[in-house]
Amino acid sequence: MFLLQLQYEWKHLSRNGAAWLLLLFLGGAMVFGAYNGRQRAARQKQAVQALKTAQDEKFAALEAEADSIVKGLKKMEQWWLDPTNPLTVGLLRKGGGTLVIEPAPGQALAVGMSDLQPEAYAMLFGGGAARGSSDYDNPARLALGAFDLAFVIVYLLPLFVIALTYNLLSAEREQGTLALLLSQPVQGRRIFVSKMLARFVVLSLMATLLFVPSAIWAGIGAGLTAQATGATLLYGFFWFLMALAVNMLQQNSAFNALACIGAWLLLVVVMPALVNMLAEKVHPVPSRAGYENAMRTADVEFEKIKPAILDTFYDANPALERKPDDAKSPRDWWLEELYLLDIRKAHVADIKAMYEDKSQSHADFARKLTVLSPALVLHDYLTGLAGTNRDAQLATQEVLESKAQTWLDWFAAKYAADAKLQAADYAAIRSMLKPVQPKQSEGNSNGLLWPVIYLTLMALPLILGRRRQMMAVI
Amino acid sequence: MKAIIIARQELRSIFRERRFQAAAAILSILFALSVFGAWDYYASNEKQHAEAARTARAHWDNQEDKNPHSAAHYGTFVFKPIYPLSFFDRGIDAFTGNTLFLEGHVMHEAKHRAVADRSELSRLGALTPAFVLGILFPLFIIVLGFGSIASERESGNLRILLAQGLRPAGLFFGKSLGLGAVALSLALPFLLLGGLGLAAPGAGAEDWQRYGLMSAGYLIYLGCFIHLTLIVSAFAQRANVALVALLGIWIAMCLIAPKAVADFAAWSHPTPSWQAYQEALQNDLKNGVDGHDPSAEYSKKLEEETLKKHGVSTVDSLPFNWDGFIMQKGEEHETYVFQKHKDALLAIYQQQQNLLEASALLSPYLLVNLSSQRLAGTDVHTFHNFLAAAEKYRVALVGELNNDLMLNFKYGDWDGKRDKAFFASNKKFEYRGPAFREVWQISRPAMALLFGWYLLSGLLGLFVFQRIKPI
Repeated sequence: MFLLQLQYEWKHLSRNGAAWLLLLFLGGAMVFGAYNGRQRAARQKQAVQALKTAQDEKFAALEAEADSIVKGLKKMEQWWLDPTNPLTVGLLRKGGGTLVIEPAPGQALAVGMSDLQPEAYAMLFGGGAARGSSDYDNPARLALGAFDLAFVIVYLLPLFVIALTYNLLSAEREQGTLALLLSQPVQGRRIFVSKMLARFVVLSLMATLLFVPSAIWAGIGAGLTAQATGATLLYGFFWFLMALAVNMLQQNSAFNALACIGAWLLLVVVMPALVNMLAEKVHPVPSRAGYENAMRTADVEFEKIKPAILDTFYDANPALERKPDDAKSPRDWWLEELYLLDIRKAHVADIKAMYEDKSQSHADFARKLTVLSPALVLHDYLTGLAGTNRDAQLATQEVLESKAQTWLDWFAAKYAADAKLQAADYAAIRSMLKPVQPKQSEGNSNGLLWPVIYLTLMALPLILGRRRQMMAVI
Repeated sequence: MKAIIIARQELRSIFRERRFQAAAAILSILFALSVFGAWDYYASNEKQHAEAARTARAHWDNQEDKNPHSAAHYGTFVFKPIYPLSFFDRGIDAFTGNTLFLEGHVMHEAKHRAVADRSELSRLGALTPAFVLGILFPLFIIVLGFGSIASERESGNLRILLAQGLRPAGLFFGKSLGLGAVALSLALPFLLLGGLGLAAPGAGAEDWQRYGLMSAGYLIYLGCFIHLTLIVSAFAQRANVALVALLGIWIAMCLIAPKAVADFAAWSHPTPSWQAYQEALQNDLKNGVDGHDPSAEYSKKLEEETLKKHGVSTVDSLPFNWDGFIMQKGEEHETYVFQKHKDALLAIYQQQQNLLEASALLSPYLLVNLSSQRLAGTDVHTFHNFLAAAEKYRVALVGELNNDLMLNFKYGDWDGKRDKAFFASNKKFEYRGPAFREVWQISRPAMALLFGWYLLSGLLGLFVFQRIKPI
């Protein structure tokens, strides 16, 4: 019975010109999304490679120069250019190390925040600085958003499902074939369930055949592709059930189309905008315009308490002589500054925390609201899977900051010991500059819970109302 | 006259439909919500930015006594202005940095994009008045108008109408007038309600002019969708086919085209990577005077030329402070190089923008989006106008400091200092944004193309209606 239905559905759809057109449209969108993903990944790989090469060349040149100086073959007058000086090499403006960040493996699936993510993190005396090509991207393009596979799945796939399901029963009724079908010596329920399942199997097959090759071509690994396919089918199933539920209302096809599109509009287009508006209202994030001023005010305050803090420094280091400002050598000055770095950081921690907390509250609230729409749940899931969401970005940032601290401590210790950098030191430096793998976010907040709830909600009218509705149809 | 009768009939039948009542109610609620959500966007952000600007200036005025060149490194901050109409259309506002650090030697990039403080969900759009008018309102027109001709055909009314001697042009004008009146019955109150946002303090006559043009742009845009709806409805044999086709067109024009064209433009005219941009910049910077490195090749050359010109053998015999002089020469070179690379980047943006405008045929949404952002002051041009003004100010401020160093300090006197009174007397950053005339000039092409879209779709409508099939 089911196989017969399956065969019928397949033939029915394969002879439907509109279905082919829709398939072509969805396929085209998937290919374009995958192409964009490939382009982005290639561009980022190229940018990352260029950064690595530049860094390798820089440190190779510094090492060679340091070697000549150590062997007495070359002299360096200016300390700020000296490649044997730990401060110059590790922390000052024209020195410093750069941690290159590898692209997220799934960014071709869902761009998320990856188009704003830096490709590198420079470790300098004053702290880390992001280095990103997005600094030079056209903001108009960033604002319009990416045409990625996630966009195709979240926005366009439901339309494909709706277009091929909205008149599943109404068309049969309008053509008079439903009564004929139910008059067969087979239980009406069986026909109904088989027909539904068969149509869904055909749609799923089409979606999978389009999505999987596109995802593989985009460079997303097999594991990620499998997970994304599962989520895609689940999402498609939600829309399929939704269209069936609308069919059960027993209205005409035009009504069904309007109702399905209305649901799509509400859940896919309006709800995300509404959620963002609500999050902005309930948890407003202050403009960072005040941030730098607050930091500067804190700096001014710090300068006032600095002499007292330096008392502790000189008490702890009796071998160092405390000199008046105009008598200090650059080394005296830098030793003080290196000591003050952590204390300075702690002094401004509240300011940073205030902005970060507000931003996190906003993001947490927005994420809680994702349960209002399966489109948001899926988007959240896909960006999490791709490692391009905010959580992944923050987790990577944490790794970068920790590595930057290790870097700083290493050079500060060398400088404090008045060491000269040699070949072995350069090997250690290189080992600290290994590219950083982007962090995945720790699971998706919603997991499978919400998709299951949505599917149950959608299936309820079908389960509860089936017998009554079927009778009414006849 | 017949067109008026048709229009009146169309208007009455739409107003009577529950579909209209439901769609109008939903759209009105969403528009009201969008105004509520965006209402304090300008007021709140403008207040924060104005406060930040005052604080930054106070920091500059009250800085510790220091050498003018140290002050140039201490630098100051300027902040992206927030315009009254940004509440209506936020455009690229969240995607551009709002804080710009100005110091000697370097043209920094603006920092702190609002989007960076939000989650990836924020990339899915915000409910603003521009979103409702640009994305959702066309759907309202489609839902009300998809059966405008197709249903008349299905019910057999079309044959009767044409048999009664109604000319196809009259039918087209009547239907578009009717549908237009329905759209206006909602769009005009929306635009009036949206105008309330301009009641916030700070909005001036120019903002009303901009808003007037924005409103006109949106009305023309909605007119394009009225024409499209009628054309498709006239083509389709059945109303539900017309509906599905129109929805397809809407999705292609409002959702797919903007992203697809922007991506296509980016691949056709790629912007440089961070490394490529910096490498090119640093290479150019090396080929010129470095104020902080007197031993550099170009600095040595400049020194020789200057000594020769003044007939002295050492820099301390010059009639001015060589340190200030070389700092300023270095600054001029650095400014030239930074500007050169910035201009090249802007040229790429312009090429991308041209492609976006050239693809106007694909979607009037691209045009209304572009002109709306330009008029709201939330577009790339306005942002770069601010950056250019800030750069001009940076050059002037650093020039003032270098000039002071050159004329009022002795060579090698890096310990010499200026006090608060001097810093308070330094140039102030005063920026008001591009004038209406300039904004109108750059908005004109997109507006003209939008109007062209309206006319062409109208002509196409007339053409299609001339060949309308009654059955």
